[in-house]
Amino acid sequence: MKVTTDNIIRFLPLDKPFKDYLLENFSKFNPDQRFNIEQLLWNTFEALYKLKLEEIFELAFLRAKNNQEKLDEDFYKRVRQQTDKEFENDFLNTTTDTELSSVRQKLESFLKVPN
Amino acid sequence: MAFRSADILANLGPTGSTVASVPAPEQPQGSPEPATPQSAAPKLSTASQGQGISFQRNIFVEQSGTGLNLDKELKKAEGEGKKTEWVTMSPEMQRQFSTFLNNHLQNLVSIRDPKVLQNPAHLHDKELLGRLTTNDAPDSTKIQQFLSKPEGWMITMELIEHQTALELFGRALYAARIPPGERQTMSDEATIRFDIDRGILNKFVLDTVIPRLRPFKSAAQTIGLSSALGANAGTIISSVLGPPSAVAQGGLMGFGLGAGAGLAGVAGHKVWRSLVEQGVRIEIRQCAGALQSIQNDRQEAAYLKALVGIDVDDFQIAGGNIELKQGKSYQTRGSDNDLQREIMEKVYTREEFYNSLGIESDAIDALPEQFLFRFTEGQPEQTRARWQARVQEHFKANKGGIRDAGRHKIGQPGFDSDNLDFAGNLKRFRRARAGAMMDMIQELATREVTRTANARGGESVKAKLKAWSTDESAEFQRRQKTHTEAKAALEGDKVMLTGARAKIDGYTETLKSLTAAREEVLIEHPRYGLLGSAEDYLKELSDRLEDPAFTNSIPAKRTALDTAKKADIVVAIRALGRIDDPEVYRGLVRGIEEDADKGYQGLYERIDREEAEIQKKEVDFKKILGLMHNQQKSLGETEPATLTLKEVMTNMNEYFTTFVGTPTVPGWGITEADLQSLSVDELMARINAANAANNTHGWPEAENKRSEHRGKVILASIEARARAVELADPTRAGRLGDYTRLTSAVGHGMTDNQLRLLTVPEIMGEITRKITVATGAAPIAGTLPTIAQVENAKQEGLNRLFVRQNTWTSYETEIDRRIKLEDETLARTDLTAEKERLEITDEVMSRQGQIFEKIYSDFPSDPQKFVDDRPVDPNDATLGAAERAPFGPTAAQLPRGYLEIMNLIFDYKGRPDRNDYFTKLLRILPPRDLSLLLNDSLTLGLSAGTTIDATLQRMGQRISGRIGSIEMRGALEAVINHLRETALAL
Repeated sequence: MKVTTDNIIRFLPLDKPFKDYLLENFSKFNPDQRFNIEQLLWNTFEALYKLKLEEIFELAFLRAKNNQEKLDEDFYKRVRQQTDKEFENDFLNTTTDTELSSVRQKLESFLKVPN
Repeated sequence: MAFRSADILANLGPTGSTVASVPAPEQPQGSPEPATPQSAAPKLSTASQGQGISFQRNIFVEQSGTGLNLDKELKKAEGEGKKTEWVTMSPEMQRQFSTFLNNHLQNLVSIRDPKVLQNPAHLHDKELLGRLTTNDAPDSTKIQQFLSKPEGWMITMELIEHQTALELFGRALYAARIPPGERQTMSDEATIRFDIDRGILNKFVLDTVIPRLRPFKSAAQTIGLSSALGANAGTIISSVLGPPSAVAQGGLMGFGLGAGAGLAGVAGHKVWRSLVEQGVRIEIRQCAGALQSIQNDRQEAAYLKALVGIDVDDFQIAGGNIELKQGKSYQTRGSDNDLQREIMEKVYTREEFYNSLGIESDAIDALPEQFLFRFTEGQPEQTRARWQARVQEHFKANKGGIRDAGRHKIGQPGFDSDNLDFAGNLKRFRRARAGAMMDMIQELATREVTRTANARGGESVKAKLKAWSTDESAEFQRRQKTHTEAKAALEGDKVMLTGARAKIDGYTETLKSLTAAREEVLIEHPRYGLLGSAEDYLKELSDRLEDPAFTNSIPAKRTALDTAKKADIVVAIRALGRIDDPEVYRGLVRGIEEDADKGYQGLYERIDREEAEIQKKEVDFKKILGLMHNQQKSLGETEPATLTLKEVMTNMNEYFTTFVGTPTVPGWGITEADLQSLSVDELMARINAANAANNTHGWPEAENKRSEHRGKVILASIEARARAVELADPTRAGRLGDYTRLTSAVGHGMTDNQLRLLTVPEIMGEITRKITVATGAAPIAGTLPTIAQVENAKQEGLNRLFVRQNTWTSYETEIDRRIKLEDETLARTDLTAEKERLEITDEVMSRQGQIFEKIYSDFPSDPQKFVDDRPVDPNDATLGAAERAPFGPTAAQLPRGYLEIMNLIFDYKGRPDRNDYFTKLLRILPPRDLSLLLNDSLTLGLSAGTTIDATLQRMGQRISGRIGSIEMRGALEAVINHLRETALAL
């Protein structure tokens, strides 16, 4: 699935009514609201990716410690590839067990900015 | 007498060579509960939660490099489901931090000598004073606001560590945690650097690789006194401990946790119990090296004395003991027990703070310096705290932070880890921490400014563009107004300066004329120079004209000529012989006389001319004498020109001193260098800031236009610049001593004006007169200055005036130049470029989402395209002229990657006005700006002067693995934000 702002809204673990509201009204927000919200959404999306990367990384080290993974120059590349793969799956399935209440709060604060 | 640190230690624990472990006390009632992490979910902002204050954890702690036991971490993560991402500072810890800041600021405010804080090691204190005090008192509201930000906590933590270390060292003590914190990251030579999750990787290396390479010195080896000090530190520390009996009160004992009634306050600290349960003890030991590190650092010694009253110079190291020098007394605020409690509370507060961040106790030393005392630990504690990492960046342990006594760095041939430059290492560490604190304070200030700029009431690029489009004239007038006002202020300065200078010029012109007349009169009247007195000279002239008895006088010459003529006539008549005819005789005699008259006529005429010349000389001399007299009189001490000059010179000196201060009177926070280099308005801003901090200094901004204030600033600036000229004059030193001797009250008390005005003989005469009046007798041998000394003093007196006058003129020329610049600016005030920037930025901002999406779609498929540092083909017909050769046909071509990144951001390639648009883009985001932004946001580690080619090249090296879509999008987000901020700042 192509990474777009709309798809990120769909992917992020926000409650459905709010998600629907965002998807439906995003293009109607004023330019400043759109600008700020875009940055927040993309940064949140990438923060989740980095969490995934860290998780995969630690597991890879655990495997390396048990001689199940080679600690060579491609180690990091493999970790990133696996992260990309798993994250893409998550993205496609749009499943995550994390509730981003603070992101929602911040998004709401942007939406309260007067026109 | 032994140093009281020994007494302090005596009160802290039982005597003996080992540290007593003390049973853990019951947890006191009402002690604060440990802070509870609020949420397992990642959060993106700080928030106040419950009674504590919560922050995102990764603001404080590096998440990528754990450096901790992997199994334990993973188990913990499994048990909790997710890692805790938030940390909460308990209300108790908030109180402790606030109290510490309040006390520290109170101590800083009480420092009387401003020089104590005017050094690089305490710039952070100056900054904190400016931020957190009001009217010379700690401001609790400001402190609370400061601690509402994570940076505030980090800076305060560093400050606690810094002050604790200083106060310990000043008392010749150090603190160590036994056993020390775990060290799982290897020192640099064994560290594998991938720029990724180094802590985990190093842990792996530690477990699997290092044991095969070399034995690792276990921290556990350092238990017990002799081994506790370690083979390396022991050579330094044990040498000052002395025999047990001599320093039993201190040197050989540390103290255990909770020992002694004096530690009741500390025992209540919740960290205390936890540490006791873990079998950890905090030792405080005597250490000469710690004391020396302050004694050798005069700035810190002065600071410590001013701040807490410890004078490290009162102590000496003798025979292995630290002793109070004879006649010195030792006093600190409060009792020894208070001191012990203060130190231990700080150590425990530190530990509690780190624990609150999820950093376990087994990663923490007593203080960050501990590894410098106990070099067996070999490397600093590994807390992963970001501020600690910054200190290490400044310290550069392996690149000169740690040196041996022979100044060798770690790794250099000859480096002797058993003979370290202990005091120097501690000093460098302190400086590193001060540097890190200053960095953080400045960054905090920058962020606040940026936040303020970004938060400007609803102002957006689009709104600004709209406002400009509908009423461009208003913005135009606003711009014009700024420059018109600046020009008017400069013109006012010029009028004031010119008016004041006219008065000074009157003095100096007269003085110059007088000096010229003195030189001229000596040339025209050399006899005057020889005689040395106008009176004698005039008498001589008069005698030459009138006194027949004066040798070679005109009357004498005439008489001599008359006599000679008569004699010649007589001789000629006698030569006639006998002539009987009286008529003939009379005719011949008449002829002889007529011949004689004719023959002598020329000689008489010569005397007449000489007489006329002497008369003219007399008239001329009297005239020039009268002129010089009048000039000299007009420059007398009480004459208007002299009084004006004196007033101006006094004012210049006075304003300079007021702004800069003296060793005893603080200035207004302006340095001599500021006065030399800053403009009037820049100096005014400094003065307004000084006034805001202390209303007895300077004046508020509203008074900046008052001409007397501007005058003060200008005169002080001229004085500062004149001083710089004098300092640069290599001949001045040879004159200064004589000048001081002649002008000082204890010397001869001559005024500057007298030195400038009087001739050397007149000065000698004046000094002789003064001595005679004062002593009732003529000067005795040796009391009068020599002619050479008077000439030196006179020259310096003149030099002081002329240097200031020249500087004054230069200042006026500078004002003329700035007026011209303002004129030029006014003439070219044009909003076209700004409007262009606003329009393009607005377009980019509205396309931000598309830009992000394009990065994710285009960058992974062909990343090399965006980092291609090859120059564009100048013959590529698909490119516009601006892309092919933007800086002229002879300049280097742009790298291809730059065009690609620019297209990613601005989407210019498909535009019908592609060439013109790209020309605009080059102005809005030139290669150098893009290079700096990429360098910064991608942490490429290139220097500030880097080029776009080097930047793309470095990106190319990292394109595999390290720079992906995420990193690239983050970088372009930074570029977009930069464009936005620049546009809003217009």
